[in-house]
Amino acid sequence: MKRWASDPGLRRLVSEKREGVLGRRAFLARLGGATAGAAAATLIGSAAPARAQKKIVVTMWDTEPNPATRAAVKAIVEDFHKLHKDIEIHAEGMGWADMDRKLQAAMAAKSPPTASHTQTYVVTSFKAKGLIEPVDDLVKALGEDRIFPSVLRWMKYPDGKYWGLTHAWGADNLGGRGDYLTGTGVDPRSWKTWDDWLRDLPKLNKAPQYYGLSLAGIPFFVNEDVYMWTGANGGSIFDDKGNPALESPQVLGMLEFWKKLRAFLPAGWASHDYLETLSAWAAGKTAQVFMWGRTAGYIDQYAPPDKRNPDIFQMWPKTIGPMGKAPLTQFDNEPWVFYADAPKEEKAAAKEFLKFFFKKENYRRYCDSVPVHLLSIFKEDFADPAYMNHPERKRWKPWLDAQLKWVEIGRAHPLLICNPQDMVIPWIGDVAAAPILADMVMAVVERGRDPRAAAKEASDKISRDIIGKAKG
Amino acid sequence: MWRRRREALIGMGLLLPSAALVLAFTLFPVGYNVWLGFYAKHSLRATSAWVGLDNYAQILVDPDFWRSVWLATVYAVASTALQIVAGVAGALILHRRFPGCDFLRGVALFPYMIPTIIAVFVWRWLMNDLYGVIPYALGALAIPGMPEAWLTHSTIMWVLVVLSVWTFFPFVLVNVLARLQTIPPELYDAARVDGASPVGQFFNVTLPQLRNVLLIVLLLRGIWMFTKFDVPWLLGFGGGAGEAIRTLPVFTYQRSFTYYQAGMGAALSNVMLALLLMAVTLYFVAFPPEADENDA
Repeated sequence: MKRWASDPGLRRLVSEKREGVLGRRAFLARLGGATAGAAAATLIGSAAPARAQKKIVVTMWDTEPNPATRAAVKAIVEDFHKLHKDIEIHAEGMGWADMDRKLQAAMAAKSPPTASHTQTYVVTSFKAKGLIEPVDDLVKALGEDRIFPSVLRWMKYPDGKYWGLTHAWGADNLGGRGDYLTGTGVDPRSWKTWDDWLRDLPKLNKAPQYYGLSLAGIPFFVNEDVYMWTGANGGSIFDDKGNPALESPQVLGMLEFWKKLRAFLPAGWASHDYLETLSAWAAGKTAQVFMWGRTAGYIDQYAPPDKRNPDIFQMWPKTIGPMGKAPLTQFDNEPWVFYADAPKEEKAAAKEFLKFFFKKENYRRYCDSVPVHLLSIFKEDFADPAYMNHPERKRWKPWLDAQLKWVEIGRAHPLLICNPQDMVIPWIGDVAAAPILADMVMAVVERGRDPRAAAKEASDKISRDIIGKAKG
Repeated sequence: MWRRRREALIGMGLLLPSAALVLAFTLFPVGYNVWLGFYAKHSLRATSAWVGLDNYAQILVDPDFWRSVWLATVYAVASTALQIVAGVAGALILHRRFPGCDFLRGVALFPYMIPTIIAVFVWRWLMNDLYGVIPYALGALAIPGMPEAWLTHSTIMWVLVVLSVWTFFPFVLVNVLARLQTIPPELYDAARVDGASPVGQFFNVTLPQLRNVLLIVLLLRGIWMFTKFDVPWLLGFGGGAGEAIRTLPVFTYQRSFTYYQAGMGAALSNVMLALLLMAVTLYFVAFPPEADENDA
């Protein structure tokens, strides 16, 4: 007896080939698949029964790899599977850098995931390249009116469509050590302008015990400060046509301001990454840091037990440049996007999953995994005692209030977007990914280059290497 | 006649799998990369446009490219030279029999066995200006002119070199130690009879015997350090202070994956290959391999 004759699947395959139902190529392809399947079944030690029905496999990549969030997502997926036996959700969490590389490879191979998290500026780039689809149906199913307008505004484009759906939000703040104010006479609540801040920074700088301010020097995080301070100085990285505006007085003023801040930064700031700045703040090596709600975890990890509270780790105001009218902060509002090249039935299944995910009982589990950072997109939750009385949200209430304030005044903008019109610039994502802006800052702050010359060089690089290439 | 043809056919048949593998895994990727270098291709899109030699023309006038070549050369030369010195010194010590030498021979390999990401992050922590043990210890010595921080624009290259020497010198050590153990003891006996001091024995016996192995090690390590991407990338992330260690491989990576210019990235890696081929050719002209006396 032939070996294949004992396997019903292979027996059917061979008979179909003999009867001419299958061509040679189709036969070989299915034979390969059947053999691989049999090998996998052998490897796991059991011969799985043939599937009664074909499952729709959905691949979803998100950027929340921390264990608590993974556990929450896993539980939500398992509950979803109980209700939808025909759908299999593969939810994978990864860091931003991994996501970026994986997406590039997947896009180039035209085999993207069904949906993924991304940055707002990437939505613009992907939209311009025809790589993603609108998600109006999903937004409407959840209820536009329920979602914060400040969240929705960054997903809605001039064509009137929503091109992404924010999974949760957070706003960047200036964190300050309350205990370091003692005896300095400094009252951060009085700060309105950069000059106010610069006036008091020397009193908060007790190097080498602790420094006045800690900033991250890695390009991605340098970009954050570049656009926040340019925006707070009334300017933008781009002009109305999307060309670089780095030689504008607002950007040059931002660079001059950075030079003045340098005196209060640790000597090795240019190699510090974002997490190092957070642990420096928690451990008392810096008086101030730009931070997100998830920093609470670092405080619980590194700060002395008696200092783990918002009286010590305070929220201080961000200030305005001489040419600005209002401060600007970064809005962490990464959206889910759906890829044009993904199969239709997968996208429909992924939307079903997200509708389930955003149901109150499920979404609450997700938000509660990082309670002061993964903030709900639904306005109603902030009036719900069950949400607000979560022990961590109660404990860090001033942090929550500081984030909500940014949303209320509408000055929380996604990365590199100083003005709302910047979000339609198709190459904004490419500028964000390249190290050009960070090189400009380093040239001025660390290598003593003239700001105007450094800004011109950066402008030329953006025009030549990014816009020139994009226009082809 | 028929038998010879049959043997030739069998020989060719036996060579075919190897030839196919070389074609598939070496020549095809290189060929594809050469082809891609003639195109403008965004990394996120499946489309591309023929630009001929434009990518190469841009590379040649880009000061950032030349800076990256210079940084890669400094890194490769400094770290390779110091690896050779440390590796030979270590091998000479471990060549002698003393209590615990077998244990030390095993331990000496540890840096080479540690995953790069672990090694680099451990060094990042050791050198951190706020918490690092090394800046703290050096600071305690109060040496005038000692930098306050080491992962800065002016000093990060030295950290990269020291870290790389620490990680990769065991490769040199193992190769040199293996060769030392095959040097006939009679050569040293003869040298001693001739009145050679230990230093004289090293320069007149050991070093000439090590010549061939050192030439190969120098070549391999030089190539590997020039094309080394992971260590400079993980130490500096390509920006901030990492700007000062943006070597050619890091620059190439950034063009491909942060500027999203797959065609330009391919052209840069072709240039890197060409530079290495030229360097290797010059190397073999300057140091032609000699037949080993023991092989004769």
